[in-house]
Amino acid sequence: MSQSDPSSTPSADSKIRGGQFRKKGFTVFGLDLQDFIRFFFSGNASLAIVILVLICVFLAREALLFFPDHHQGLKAYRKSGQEFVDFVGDEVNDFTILYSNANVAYYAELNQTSLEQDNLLAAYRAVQSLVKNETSRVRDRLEDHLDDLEDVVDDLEEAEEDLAKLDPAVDGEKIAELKKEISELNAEKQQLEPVIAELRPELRKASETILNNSLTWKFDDASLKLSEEQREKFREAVLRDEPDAQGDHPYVAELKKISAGKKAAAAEQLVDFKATVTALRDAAKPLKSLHSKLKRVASEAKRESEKFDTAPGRRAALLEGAAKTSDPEEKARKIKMAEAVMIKEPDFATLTQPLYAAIPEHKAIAEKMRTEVAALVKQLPEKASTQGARERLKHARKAERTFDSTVSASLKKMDKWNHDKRYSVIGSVTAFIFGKDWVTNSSWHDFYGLLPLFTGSLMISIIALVVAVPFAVSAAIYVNQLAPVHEQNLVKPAIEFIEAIPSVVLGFFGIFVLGTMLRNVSQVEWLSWVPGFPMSERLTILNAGLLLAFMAVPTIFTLAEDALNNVPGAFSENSLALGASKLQTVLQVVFPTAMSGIIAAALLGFGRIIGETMVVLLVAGNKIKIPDFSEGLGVIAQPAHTMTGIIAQELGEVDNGSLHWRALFMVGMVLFFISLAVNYGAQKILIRFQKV
Amino acid sequence: MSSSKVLMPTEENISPPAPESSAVTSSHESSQEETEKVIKVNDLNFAYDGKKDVLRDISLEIQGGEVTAFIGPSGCGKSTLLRCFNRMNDLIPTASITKGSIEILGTDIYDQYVDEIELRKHVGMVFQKYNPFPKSIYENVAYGLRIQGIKDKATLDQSVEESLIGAGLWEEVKDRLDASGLGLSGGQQQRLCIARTIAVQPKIILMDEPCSALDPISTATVEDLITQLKSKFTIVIVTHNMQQATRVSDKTAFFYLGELIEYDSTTRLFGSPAVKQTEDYISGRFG
Amino acid sequence: MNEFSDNQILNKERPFAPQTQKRRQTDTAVSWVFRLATYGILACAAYIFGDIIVKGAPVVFRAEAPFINVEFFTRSPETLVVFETQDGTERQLAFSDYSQWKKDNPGVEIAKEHTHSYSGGGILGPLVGTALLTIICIVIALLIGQATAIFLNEYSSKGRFINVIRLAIMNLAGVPSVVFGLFGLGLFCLFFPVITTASELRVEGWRAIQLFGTEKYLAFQGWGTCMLAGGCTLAVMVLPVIITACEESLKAIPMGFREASLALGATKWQTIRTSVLPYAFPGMLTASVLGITRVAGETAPIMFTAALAHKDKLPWQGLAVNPESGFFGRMLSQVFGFFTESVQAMPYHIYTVAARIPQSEYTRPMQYGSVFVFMVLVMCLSALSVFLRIHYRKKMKW
Repeated sequence: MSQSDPSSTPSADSKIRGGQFRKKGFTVFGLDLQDFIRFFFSGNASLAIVILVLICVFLAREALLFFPDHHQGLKAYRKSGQEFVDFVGDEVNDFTILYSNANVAYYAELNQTSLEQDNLLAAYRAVQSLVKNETSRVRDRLEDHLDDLEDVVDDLEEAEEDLAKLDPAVDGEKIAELKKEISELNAEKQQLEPVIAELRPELRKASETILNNSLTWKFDDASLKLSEEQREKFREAVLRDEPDAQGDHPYVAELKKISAGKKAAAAEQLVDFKATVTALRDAAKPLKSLHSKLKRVASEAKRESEKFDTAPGRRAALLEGAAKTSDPEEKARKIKMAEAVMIKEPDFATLTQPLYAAIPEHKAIAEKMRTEVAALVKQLPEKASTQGARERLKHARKAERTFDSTVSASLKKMDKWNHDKRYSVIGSVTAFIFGKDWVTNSSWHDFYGLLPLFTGSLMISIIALVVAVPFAVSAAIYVNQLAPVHEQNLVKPAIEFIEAIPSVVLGFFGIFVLGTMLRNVSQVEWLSWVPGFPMSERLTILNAGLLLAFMAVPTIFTLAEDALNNVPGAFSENSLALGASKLQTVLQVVFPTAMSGIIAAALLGFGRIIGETMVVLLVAGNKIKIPDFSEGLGVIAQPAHTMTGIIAQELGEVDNGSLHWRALFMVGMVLFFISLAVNYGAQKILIRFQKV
Repeated sequence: MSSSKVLMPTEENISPPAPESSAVTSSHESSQEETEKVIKVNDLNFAYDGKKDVLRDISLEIQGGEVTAFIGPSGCGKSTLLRCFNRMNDLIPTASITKGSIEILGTDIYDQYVDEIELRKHVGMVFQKYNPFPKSIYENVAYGLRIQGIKDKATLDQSVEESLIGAGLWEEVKDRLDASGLGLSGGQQQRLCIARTIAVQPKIILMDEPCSALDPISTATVEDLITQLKSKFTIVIVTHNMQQATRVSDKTAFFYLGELIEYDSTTRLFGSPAVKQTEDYISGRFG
Repeated sequence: MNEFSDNQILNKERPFAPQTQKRRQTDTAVSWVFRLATYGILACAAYIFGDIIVKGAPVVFRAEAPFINVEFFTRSPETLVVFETQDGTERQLAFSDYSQWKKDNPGVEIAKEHTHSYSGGGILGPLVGTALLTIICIVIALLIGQATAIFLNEYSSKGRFINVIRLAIMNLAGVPSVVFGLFGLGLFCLFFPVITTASELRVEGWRAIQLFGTEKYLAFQGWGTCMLAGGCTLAVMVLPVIITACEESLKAIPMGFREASLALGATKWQTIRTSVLPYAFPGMLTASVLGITRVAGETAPIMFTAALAHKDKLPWQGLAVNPESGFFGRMLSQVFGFFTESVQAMPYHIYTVAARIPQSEYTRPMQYGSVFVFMVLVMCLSALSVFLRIHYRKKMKW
């Protein structure tokens, strides 16, 4: 039909309206075929909106049901007194940090004297296990044959002993038998011996090959700074290690002896330190035992609470079962059982009574322990000879302050605590968003706190962005502004090609190659200034961050290149005409003009990274814990878990509709909104950019 | 053939400027006067965005069987008016006429009962940039007939041949009707587009600067063609080239800043313009 | 110092002398920094490719005819049994072969055996699964995406509705793939309606509607974990890519075609059908290849909607048929049964062998072989889409 049309005036004589240009063909309700086609297409287009709305609905349906359940769970957590017990638990945890720092500091000091030997021994064990692993085929066969040989030799000896005992006159028959056996065994022995003799050099050769090609050994070798003679001994020690080798190689044994001796000498020096550490441990004993005692009380209350929560369901199930059975006896039994199901709410006041009663006891213990610990921490040595020990002592002192304030806080909280106090709904929301623990399937209480996952995702994304942006933007500048045309035509598709690498392949690469490579590189001595180096883990934030950076490069590159391309040619022509060099023009005219486009590119890259699943699932290490920032930038060497990873990992294993399931949907919803926000921000920046 | 035979007399009857000769159209419409004035624009205003008028108070009548040229500087609205005649402006969603009306063959074409698709079958258009489809020459010409549902091979063959003859292209392409239309020269492509247009037997052909993308020799060929087509079709041509207007047109309308300044027979408008602005324009003082 | 002043004097005398050495050096140095960053990226990519090719290609190719490891492509993943017979020869067999071997050689004593899950056999199951998922996804996405693109490019006028649609598409493009997985699980696997009998009914209330006059129910209980659900989830995910690519191909067609057709009295749909779509076809082809590339590599959306780590049968094997129903009933239930089978998929298979089994010399062939084959497939598709785009861009000039 005609478009909106102000000039057409309705007229009575509709007979000739439209004249010879009148529409031909059918219409239904004034709509013709063209309109239906149009509606078909617009309907398809609206599907995008429908899908977006459906995503919201399906996420929201599960996610919003999370909060009532979560609230319920938290209420039970309070009612049963678990919350109360965790006040004590906090104290215990803080103390444990303090103690372990002091303890580690002590051992750092102790081992410091024998560091050289210990390093050698550690390297020996690492290389040895590597060689053992890689040569397992030959080694296992050799071992089997050696076992067999041993058996044969044992049998042989036994037989010969028996033979010696026997009197040839009496047991002629037996002797003949034994002799036959001996000859058989001998034959077997003769068969085995050459095989073993063959296998030994084979194993040695295989081991040598591994040793010569091993990167681990090369790095160790470089960092250990062995003398030629030492290295020879070291190699010999590794290679000598055949399955039937007895004891240690003399070189290793010597190392062990020296190390032990030095340690013993150091221990004498550090006897005071040791005493302080032991005293610290003893000081905590009353608190720990109180904690476990209270834990039992709260667990009992929690069980009661759970029983009560599930009672109606169990009762209904029994009644339903009764209705279905035809056997009257069975029916009566089931109905009786159903009636027996307790639906009365347990009396939490009685159940939690022991907790209230424990307040004064705890106060006494805590106050005493607090003064003791403070005094003991003061006794810890001020100075330490190693960097590690100094760090640890510093941490221990800091932990002492934390412990002290935790104790005061706990004391206050316990005084005020009431199992019947209402748990606010907002409290359950904040417990999710700012919760520091994500603990599931625990026997104590399941915590659903987003913070560890969020920090993990954020840290990995930031590392990826910090690495990817300079590379991608440099490449964009080079390709768009500096490279000759034929190079442009090669490099641009090549970088865009990277985008097609499936993320699971990159994750695979991260596990199989990059992880080991990073760990090896981090153990090179002259790189030890890098924060977090040397790394003990293969799957870390850094590893995931680097892979994601690689993934984000093509996205950022393409968008940044577009932004540079959109800078009007007149800008750079003007700049060149003023006598600026090509590079000056690029850096001072083109780049600043394209800046907002590049920022939007980085933002969209961020959106892509934070939503990426497979790489982080495979490579980030999947440890649900807020990374320990006390190590500064070294935090990148720790493993972490992410929001995307937790969904992928746990959703397949939880019951449809459970609290845990809903928590995962809630995490999905958070991700969804983050991605919307990032997208929105990038679009705003781009729109502003287009106006310039 | 049948379709063209039926319509042909209509054209021939319209074409002589004599007022009493229109037979078929008078069967539709009562007034003979209106038949003669094939296009009638009444006090028209037009806006692309619905607010700011780019055409203001245009009133003019175009005689059947004549070539009418629209001239004027760029942006004066002449092409816009032309595109109003077959409602090509409908493609721009916000564009609409804000006042007045256009009657073609006695029908208000912006009436809500008018189907713009039926309208365009009667009011063909040739564009500034020749735009043959990337199909064979034959298929290009047959396209309009095919979409009207004509499938009979003989009819199509006949019609294609006649249209190509009508566009003066037959001799040049008859041996390679299956070759791509894109392989022709610019002038040939434009004539192919004209052939495509006349194949559907419109009554009016609108030409939007048909020669602006062509070289002088091709231009001359197309201009010859236009004068020949005059006998069968009413032609409205928009041109930038004033010599072209004098060469091909019977009447000329001069537009300036969205208004119709002067409309008269070509000889009179170029010989003794009544308005100062027209004189300035045709003598090259601006534009 | 002396040289410097010389230089200055020279410059005074010859105002157009080249820039001082130092400035040019800085320029070159900074250019080299950019160049190195660019080639650094490419070097990383080359290293990844190289590593996977070097370790993966030997698994797939053989030195003698037929030059490829046929078994790797014609069998599904199985547990690998490594065992040693008394005479010290070591053998590696997939579990089914191992059982057969034991039957054939009853007398031979096995000295030692250990198993490695997922490491034996080949990758037929995952390959088939990925192909099916991709086909389902692309068919659905192309139908909807093409229609949407036609609407946006041909029919739409500026207005609120179109802005909302564009906004929705743009935001859809940014949603993380794992969220699509959640969505697909919630909608397709657990909610979409199926027709089922009372015994298989898992929902109640308004979600189970008894069909009039029959024993069957229309139940909103979802399709379960199956390739249809996975394909739909992937289709939803890839929709923005397809729409954008299709729209681009439509935009590339000159306005003149449409105008000429309309001016000849063609209807809108006639114009689109005859003067737009035929010329947009190459673009659509490119779009679908691009879409396949994106979809084939995705893991997160199919993890909970379609994929299984282990499955003995291929999806068309062993479909349950109700012998009582008529021909059409059987056909229908077969087709539906086929689409509601769960499948193995390459990316999920790689995830499984990468994350769930340890690395050893026995598992490595499967691990690297799968990754190699998968990467080569996806890369070929991606290269094809790049090639098509460049090819048609050159060819399409009117």
